[in-house]
Amino acid sequence: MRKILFAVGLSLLSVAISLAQSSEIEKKIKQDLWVDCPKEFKSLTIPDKWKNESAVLLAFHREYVMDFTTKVTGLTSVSRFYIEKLNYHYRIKLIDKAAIADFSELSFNSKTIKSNLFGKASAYRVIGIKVVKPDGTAKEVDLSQAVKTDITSNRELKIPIPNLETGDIVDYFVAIRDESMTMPNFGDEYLLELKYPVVSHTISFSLPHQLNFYYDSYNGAPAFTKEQKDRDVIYTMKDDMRDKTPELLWHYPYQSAPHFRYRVTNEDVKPVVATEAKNLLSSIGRNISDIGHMADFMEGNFKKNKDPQLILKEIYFLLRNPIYMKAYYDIELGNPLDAPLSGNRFFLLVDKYLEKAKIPHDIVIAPSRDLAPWESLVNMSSCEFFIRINTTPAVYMMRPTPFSLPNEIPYLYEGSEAISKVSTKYPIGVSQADDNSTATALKLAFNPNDMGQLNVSRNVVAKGHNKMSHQYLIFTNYDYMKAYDLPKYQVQSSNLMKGILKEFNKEKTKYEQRLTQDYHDRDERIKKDLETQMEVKVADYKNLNIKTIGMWDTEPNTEYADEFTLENLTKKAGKNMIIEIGKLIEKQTEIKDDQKNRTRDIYMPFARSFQYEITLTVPPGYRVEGLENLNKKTENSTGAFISSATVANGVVTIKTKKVYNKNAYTAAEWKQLTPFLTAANDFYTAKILLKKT
Amino acid sequence: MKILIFLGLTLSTLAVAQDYPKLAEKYQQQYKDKEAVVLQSNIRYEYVKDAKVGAKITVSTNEKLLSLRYNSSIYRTQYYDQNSRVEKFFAESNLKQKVADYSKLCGSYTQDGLFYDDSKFCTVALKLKERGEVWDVTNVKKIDDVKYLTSVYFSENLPVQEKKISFVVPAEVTLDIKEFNLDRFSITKSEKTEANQKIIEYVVKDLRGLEKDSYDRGMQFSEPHLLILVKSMMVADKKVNVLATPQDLYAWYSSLTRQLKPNTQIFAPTVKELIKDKTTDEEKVKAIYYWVQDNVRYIAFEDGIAAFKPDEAHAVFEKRYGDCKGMANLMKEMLKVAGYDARLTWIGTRRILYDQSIPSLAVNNHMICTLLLNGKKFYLDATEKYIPFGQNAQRILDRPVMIEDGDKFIADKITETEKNRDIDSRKIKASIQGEDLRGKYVINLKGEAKKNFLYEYNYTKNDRKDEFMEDFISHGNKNVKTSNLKMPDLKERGGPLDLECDMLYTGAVSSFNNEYYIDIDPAKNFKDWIIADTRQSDIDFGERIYKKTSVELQIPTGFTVAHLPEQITVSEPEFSFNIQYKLAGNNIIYTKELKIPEGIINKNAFPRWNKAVKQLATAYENQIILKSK
Repeated sequence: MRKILFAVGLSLLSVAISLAQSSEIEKKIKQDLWVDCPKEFKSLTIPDKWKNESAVLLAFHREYVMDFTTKVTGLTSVSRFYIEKLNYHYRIKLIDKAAIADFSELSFNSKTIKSNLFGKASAYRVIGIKVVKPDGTAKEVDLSQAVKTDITSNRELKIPIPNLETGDIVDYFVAIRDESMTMPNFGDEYLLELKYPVVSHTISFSLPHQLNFYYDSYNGAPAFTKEQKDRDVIYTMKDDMRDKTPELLWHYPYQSAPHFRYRVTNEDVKPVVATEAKNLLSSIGRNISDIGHMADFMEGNFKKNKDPQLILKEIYFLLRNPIYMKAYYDIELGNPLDAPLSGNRFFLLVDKYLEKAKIPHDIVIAPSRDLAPWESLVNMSSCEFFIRINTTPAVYMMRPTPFSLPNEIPYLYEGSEAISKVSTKYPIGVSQADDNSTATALKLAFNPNDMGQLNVSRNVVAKGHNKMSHQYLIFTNYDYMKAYDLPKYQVQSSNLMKGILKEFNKEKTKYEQRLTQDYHDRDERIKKDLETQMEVKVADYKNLNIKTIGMWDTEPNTEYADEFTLENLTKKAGKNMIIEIGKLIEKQTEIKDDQKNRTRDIYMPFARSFQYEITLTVPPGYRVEGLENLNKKTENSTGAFISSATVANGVVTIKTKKVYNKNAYTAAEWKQLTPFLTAANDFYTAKILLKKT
Repeated sequence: MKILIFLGLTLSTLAVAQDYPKLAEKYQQQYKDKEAVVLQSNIRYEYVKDAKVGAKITVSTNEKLLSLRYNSSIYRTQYYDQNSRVEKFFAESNLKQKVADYSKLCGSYTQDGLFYDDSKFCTVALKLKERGEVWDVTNVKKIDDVKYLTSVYFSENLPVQEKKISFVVPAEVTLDIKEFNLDRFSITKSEKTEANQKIIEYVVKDLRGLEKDSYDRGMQFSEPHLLILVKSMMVADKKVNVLATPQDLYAWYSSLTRQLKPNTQIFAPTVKELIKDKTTDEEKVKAIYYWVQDNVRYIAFEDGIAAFKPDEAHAVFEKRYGDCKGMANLMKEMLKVAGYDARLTWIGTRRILYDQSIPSLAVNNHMICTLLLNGKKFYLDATEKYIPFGQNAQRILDRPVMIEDGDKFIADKITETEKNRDIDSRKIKASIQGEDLRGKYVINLKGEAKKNFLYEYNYTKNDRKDEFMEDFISHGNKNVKTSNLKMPDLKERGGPLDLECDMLYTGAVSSFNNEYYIDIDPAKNFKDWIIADTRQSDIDFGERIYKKTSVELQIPTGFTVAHLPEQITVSEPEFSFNIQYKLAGNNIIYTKELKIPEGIINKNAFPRWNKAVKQLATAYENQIILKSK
């Protein structure tokens, strides 16, 4: 049975505390949350409109309470401590058996209570669960009966919830208290739609008057009320009768769902995140990065060449090279395709080198599209660094991934706005449908020995953002190391680099030991991908020929060819044959009836296009019928699906093109998007007839 | 219920020096998806005399593993529980890698289907730094209670070149070893006596690695293994029966159940309430049986002896959850309160290969309740949700049972007399509309097919039920849309279940030049069921399959039949497929019957099965052609 995990968990050190004290703390929390609770936490019934849901949250309160205290921290010193309390309190009505199964077992981190020098609890995590029957009688679950979870769980304990039946309510809380010496200064985003509908949702922040609370509501989220209580201020948002999170295609909830963004700080005006980003960049100060290996490489290979374009691309490819990833970031050599580059050293290294080469540039920061723009941000968690080369047009360098190229921008940052340390804002460009394209050519011929089978030779050319899925599908770690096995990277003088080079060469040779298996895995992977995408049975996958992987600026596209047999694309009809030719353009997005109307904007990863050219040699003794059904054209400003079919000299040629013109659309544009999406999906089911003559 | 099963592990050095890299190259071609091969493995089960309990077991494992893949890892896992412990672990490779501490990654290990058990494990990762690297692994484990070592398997995840499994048994221990599936593999056996100890040795060669198959029947049916039966031991110079006969097994079981002390007062009011308006025995029993099915969740704790001893009935009643033993016990006690003769009953489900003649803890993996009423036995399994009184679930059919009866037990077998009980029948009456088929769709479910439907429907979230029904009716064919669904009374467990709706099968008709090509069957069951040559397990569908589909297609005015696909009839002992087309007036009648009466396809039937599935798939692809007159 599925297990529900509590969404919260802070790790606290556990120090022995007497049972009596522990029970006093628990008693107080339970009194506050279960007895002296607002009336919605006593509610037993759900509104009629949600009676066909699986479960409904009758009440949910997320309560943040912050306070100060002073403590003696040494013989002569007194320090100010910041106390933070966070209570999550849920009251959920379980309507069907599936909900009972969901809540049948709960897993959680164990209760911890930490005492200070005087034996008072300074930090705790307390959990309480009770089952409330429809008549209001309640029974608390004895958590001492919990057992240890398996090592694979991210929680420590689990317990079955006893005596749980449909119609019951599970009322549970997690209460956390912690102390620190750092003044709270944080911001976050908060979505009001949850997994289940919510009758009464309360979010409150209780802050001492020295702290301020700033927030903005979006997409219909209500406002906070402000109430003075002694020396504290309580900010409360009440959100009632909220439907559950909708399941939507191409949806960025932080752009279109009701939510609020807030900031808790002691500053007197709301902090501007763009200013904080600028300040962060300014704080970098003197860059003392050691660019010795980069300099050695450039000196050894391109001594007199000062061409900025050459320098940019060479240092980018160098810092993406497994050899230098080891040297600069200590990333092990063996798995270059799965060696994500975290940390920010890349940007400092490039900055330093460009400074030395006198190439004008800036380190800039940009927020991702799903949370942008700057003005709405309350923190920098969605932001990423880039190097901006100040040419016209500007060139951007992103954090390298195995196949990224200079001047490629991750699609999450396209259309965003980067900021520099002098507050200059630079709009980042947006790639177009032609930039992110895939062109697939499929040549089909009947297997002369089995007319039920079609032999296919395929050629794929992918560009821009469309490349990545292909690159990871067809390339292995060995291929990647071979791609970097270039004479220019063997030029090194330092002992460190010599050692790494030796290790790299050894690694590459050792990878040859497993090529049989790795290529077998790769072919199986591609075969499965074809079977999933075309909903067909593929046999005899062979002869993969990677023409260009698309990881160098001189060959930026991914192009490969391969061969395989389709076993069940044809259907017999007497002496004739029907070919489900549409399936060759791979599965298309289907717009279901309940998706036809849309009120929220559409956020896609990027504009893109897909082209197919399918040729089929008509076998002797047959003629083709039904091609006229394949000529379709649905085109408007949002995109298009266009297809054509012709026959000449016994060869059928079918061409299709599907285009998504933009990476984002307004909800009003949905009515224009659906026709071409539907046309493409209709084509996917298209068939042609080979009639025996 | 839990027993220890030892997958074969380890061994000693090879007598002859080997060219390991070359050998690895060879095996790499043979086992493209395997990280390593077990070159040699020696596992020795030594029964060591013990003054207090008679004997304990020392399991010594030595194995030599050959790496087939650079830059990878293989994992060796030691399992233990309250009755066993790992005493030594050491691994060393010929590239000077060493692992001496096996306790780095340890934790609880809950077996599938249980909420908690006392199994623990420790895993070590052996890094493979070179193709052809050889790891030598040694470990020693102690088992304190001999009856918990029930089975020893030869296979493991890695392919094995050679494995020796030996048992060293002192004269004071009477041991019987039952062999299963050995004849299908290259396994030899020898026996000798040394220093008053019997040594039984098995050697297996060239054993493929275990693969995980879907719909598998369980390792007992496909893998070579031994069932270890300790009949008796000498304790303080006295012969003590361990599990010599089924009666011994029953005696041990009942020694546990006799400890139960039900507090019937806790559930007696509920029983009274449940049966207060019921007049017949059947009504009363049904009321109690269905209440337990509906209100007690299956959650299994198997901690130590709790793996074999049922939880108290009142505890299960209060918690509203329990495992099979707890639920069987609650059923028994509630029925007793209502005045009936109900008994606990031990059973091995169809996942168990063995019968009750074998006195082993491995024989029974389930417990139900038997009601003795008017000279008849009714088997009540409250872990089965939505099963009607009088119907036995497929998983316990044809299985022997051990029913409690004081100091003795009653041996019986659960049988089913109704042929074709579990039927999923679908009738469509359709006409052509453009490129679609449109019409009425009627579904009739009986037996297990109905029970399974009720379970899945009721355990689907309310807000997903429409989606579930669409999927159930269409068999996942997204071109089939339904509307105006009429649901029957889902509370009624007995009798058949009828569903009715309107159906739209889009794209079923392709028209080319005044001809219609019709794909008449929206439910292409078993179309993709070709079994790979590499499959190791029999197929167990988990249900007896009887699927009937009939489509009555109205021929449109102005059209005539140009082609009807050929019929197919496949009749094999394990399965049968039948597809027929016929003309009846202005209609084409398509009928399909697919039967797998036992729900099992044995490995030896795979070639016949594959041939039949190919015929079936071809039949599905064949189109009806109508042409204009």
